[in-house]
Amino acid sequence: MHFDTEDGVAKAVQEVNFEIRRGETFALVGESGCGKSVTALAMMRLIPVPPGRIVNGRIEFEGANLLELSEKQMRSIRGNKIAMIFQEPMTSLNPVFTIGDQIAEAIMLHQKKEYEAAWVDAVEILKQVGINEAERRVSEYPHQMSGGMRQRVMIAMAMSCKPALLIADEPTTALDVTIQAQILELIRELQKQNNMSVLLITHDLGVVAERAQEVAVMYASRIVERAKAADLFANALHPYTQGLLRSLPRLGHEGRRLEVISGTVPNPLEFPSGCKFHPRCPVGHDDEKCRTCEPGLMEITPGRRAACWYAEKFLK
Amino acid sequence: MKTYFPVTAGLLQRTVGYVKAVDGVNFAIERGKTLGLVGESGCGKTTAARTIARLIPASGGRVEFEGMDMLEAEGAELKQMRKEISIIFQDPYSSLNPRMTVGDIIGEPIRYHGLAKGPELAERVAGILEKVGLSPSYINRYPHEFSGGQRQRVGIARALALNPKLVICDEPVSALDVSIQSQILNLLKDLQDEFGLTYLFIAHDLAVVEFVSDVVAVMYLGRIVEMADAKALYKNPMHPYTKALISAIPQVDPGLRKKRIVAGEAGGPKGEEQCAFRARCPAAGHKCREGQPEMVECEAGHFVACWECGRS
Repeated sequence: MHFDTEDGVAKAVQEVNFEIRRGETFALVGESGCGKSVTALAMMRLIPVPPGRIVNGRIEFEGANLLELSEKQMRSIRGNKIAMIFQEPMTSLNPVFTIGDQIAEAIMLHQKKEYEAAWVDAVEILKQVGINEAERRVSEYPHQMSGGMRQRVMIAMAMSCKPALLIADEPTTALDVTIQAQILELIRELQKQNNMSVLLITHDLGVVAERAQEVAVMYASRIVERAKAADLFANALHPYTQGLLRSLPRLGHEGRRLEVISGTVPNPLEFPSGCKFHPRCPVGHDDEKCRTCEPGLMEITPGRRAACWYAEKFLK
Repeated sequence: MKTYFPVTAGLLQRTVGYVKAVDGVNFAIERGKTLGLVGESGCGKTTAARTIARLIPASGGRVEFEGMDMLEAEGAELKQMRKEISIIFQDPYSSLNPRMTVGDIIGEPIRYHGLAKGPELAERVAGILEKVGLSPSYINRYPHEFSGGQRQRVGIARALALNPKLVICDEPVSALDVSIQSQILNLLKDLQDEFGLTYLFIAHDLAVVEFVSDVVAVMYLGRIVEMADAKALYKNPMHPYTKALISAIPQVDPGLRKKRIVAGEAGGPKGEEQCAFRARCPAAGHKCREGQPEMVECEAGHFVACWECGRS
């Protein structure tokens, strides 16, 4: 996915390949600007074209390539088979409609139900997502609810048509840690009940470690490591992943200083040559190969891939 | 210290009640050390910080700084105080004036207090920029030309401009990516060592607070519910709310994961005469209905405000 801008072409997403299995949670991890949100929006074909431009690739869902569907066909999939929840519940909910109206809208559209029937369903779903006094709160407006409740409303809207895939883009970053724990637990419950897959996009490695089965780490528009969550955290193979894990302050941390990854994320208009991470890499910054040749996402051992010429060295 | 916000209603905007944002908060910070103030949204930590910085008027209590009551200071005393207490804000995008160069932003307080001007001022600003890890050549750049992490460094530079004694850090790293966060936290620690700064460090991320602080106070709905040495608090949390917070942190290391204590949602501050945490507390007993518990020293240096603690 590239963006044509006045300053040049921003190659926001290049080389992103992954598969999500039914019922599984797949985490896409990375820091600001790595391309993870663009990937999710591109999957739902929500990126405006122009200035966006899909250069190549395919997105397979239930046997069809989403990139080949018409807008009308996509509309019947969004909110229905694939649903999305966003980071900022306040800006994703319409402030001038009641939450009941907003949930009912999706039900009426996709399940062809009448307003009254959809409203009844909406109350039911609000109960399922743990909102007390659902009958009363269904007529409230978003601004009358706390962040945690609004996020539950978003989940209710997303779940209303029992999607096969839920894309959750930083669903709990704006929430307090105790509420975060409840929301993530709720998503897990719903996942089990409906055999739903979840694409969890986040920068919070703790959340990933606890909730995801499979993880892909993104840096500067591409996936640099992909593995089962347990393997990744026990033995990260890409220096960027290693750096991220080392720089997290952990409870019980001893020592006066935290480890850092020096430097900053590159500008998508001007990526470095060769491996995009090499200027910040403790292993590759002086290395000729790293500076000139970009490594592909190579399989280091079965089930574990890393885009690094020296990944094998890190294998335990 | 107390900070109440009046709630008005009706055409004449009569005060019908108060939101007790900060309802009796007591703590002391040792010179050169860091007190971490931690709590979730709406607990009053930012309001407490801004009250101390005299950005919001207090509703009661005293705040002692170098022997003076800061809340009463006026005129020359207040001006002096403003040199000695500075603040770093959370959002590096809205806390820097976009129409001022970085040099002006950092130089403004120095110029205002008449401490330097002209070439001497420029030299002083250049020196501070270097201290925070930015090149002095950036002095004429505007905030929008920098990344979030760099802007936060500018915010820190501004806070240091007058050689303060106390720096209030209001969520200084919450808006930054993980890899930048560690750079800024290290910087704050280095500056503390170099200049003997005292920090009031406010955050909602417990791991960050533990790393940075010597003493930690946990706030809930306007009151401090537990306060102790940082390591002691995490090894041995006593208040049910503190335990719930710690248990909720998602952990990368499976060995550190604790059983989740799920504790509902905070209602708004209501000020009824009972323990504010009672409705969500897994350990609530009869006494908890009878009044707000006071802070009691349950172990040496470890204070808890809970009827049920230290009694079983």
